[in-house]
Amino acid sequence: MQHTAKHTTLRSALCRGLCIALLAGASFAEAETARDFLGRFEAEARSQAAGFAASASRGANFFKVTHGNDWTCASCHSDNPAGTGKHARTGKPIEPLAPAANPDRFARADKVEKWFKRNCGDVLGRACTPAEKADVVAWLMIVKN
Amino acid sequence: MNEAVDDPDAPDHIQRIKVWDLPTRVFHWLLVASVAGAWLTRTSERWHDVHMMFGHTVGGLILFRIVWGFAGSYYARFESFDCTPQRVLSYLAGLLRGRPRRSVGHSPAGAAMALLFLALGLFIAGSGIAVLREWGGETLAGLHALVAKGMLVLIGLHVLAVVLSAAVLRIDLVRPMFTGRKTGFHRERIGRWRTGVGISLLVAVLGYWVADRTGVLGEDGKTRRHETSVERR
Repeated sequence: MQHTAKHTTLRSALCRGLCIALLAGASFAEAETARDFLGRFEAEARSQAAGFAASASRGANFFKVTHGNDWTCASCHSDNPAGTGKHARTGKPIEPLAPAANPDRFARADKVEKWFKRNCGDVLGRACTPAEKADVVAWLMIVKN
Repeated sequence: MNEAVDDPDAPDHIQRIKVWDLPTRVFHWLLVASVAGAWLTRTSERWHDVHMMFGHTVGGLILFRIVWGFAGSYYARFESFDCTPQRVLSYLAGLLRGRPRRSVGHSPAGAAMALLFLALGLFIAGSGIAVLREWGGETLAGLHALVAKGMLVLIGLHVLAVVLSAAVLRIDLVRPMFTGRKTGFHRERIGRWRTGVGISLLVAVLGYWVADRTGVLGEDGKTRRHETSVERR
């Protein structure tokens, strides 16, 4: 079959467009790091309190204390989140939370959002503020085995 | 219209007759409670063990219902389910014309819906147990949640159908699911309520719930063999 010059140009344009769309879609869903999330939460926190800077030591404290209920983050994720945690209700093992110990953590925005929403509800009885999330992520980033 | 109950001397009179045996009714309402309970506890870590309890219950109830679909009274048995695609479509067409074909037991649409519920419920319970035992991972957990949402849609349709049936067709489908009786001919009735099986099912499920909540059962529903540091309420 003979390709006219017009067909070839159209097809390669479509291919290029599809490639760009796929790459854009892929990078939108993937390829995030803990640092990306830290930056995002810090920016959100600054919109509420100018000059906010995340603090890992504040994050460490936040992670280990109770917040009006009987659970802490550490109740399930352990005081050392680079190790395996254990579900406080069912006893089921929980994969490490620190990104240095587990590359699956803080890699996808939908998952980060889902688990913050769910577990802040369990521990705090409310949503975590961007500042709290920033502090926690800042600490988790430096936790190693 | 003769309102006499189970009058053997009037076989061609419309009467209040036994249609839904007790196990079927007990199954239905325990399933409603379990699905509702499982849905409400679906995102809570604090109530995750309750979620699993209800999930196990749904699985067990559906397995019972499948057995009962072969061993139960006539309208509970699958052989009485007249739900080929043609039948369902012709029933729905009749419904839209305002002249639905009368069924003593499940209508074709009702029967199709029931089978769908059993299939979906079994998948949701099974996938939940698989995820619990680390057999499926992320993908299966995602499917579990997705199919559960599908089940919710189906439940919405089911409730809508029941409401419309009452409002438009003036047929009350809720009361028979409690009393077991519908209006029909004497010869259409089932013989026995199967009360023994019905009560046994109720006791078994309630007993399981009590045992699970009081900590008699271990984390995965088996008898506790050792003390754990897991919090008990």
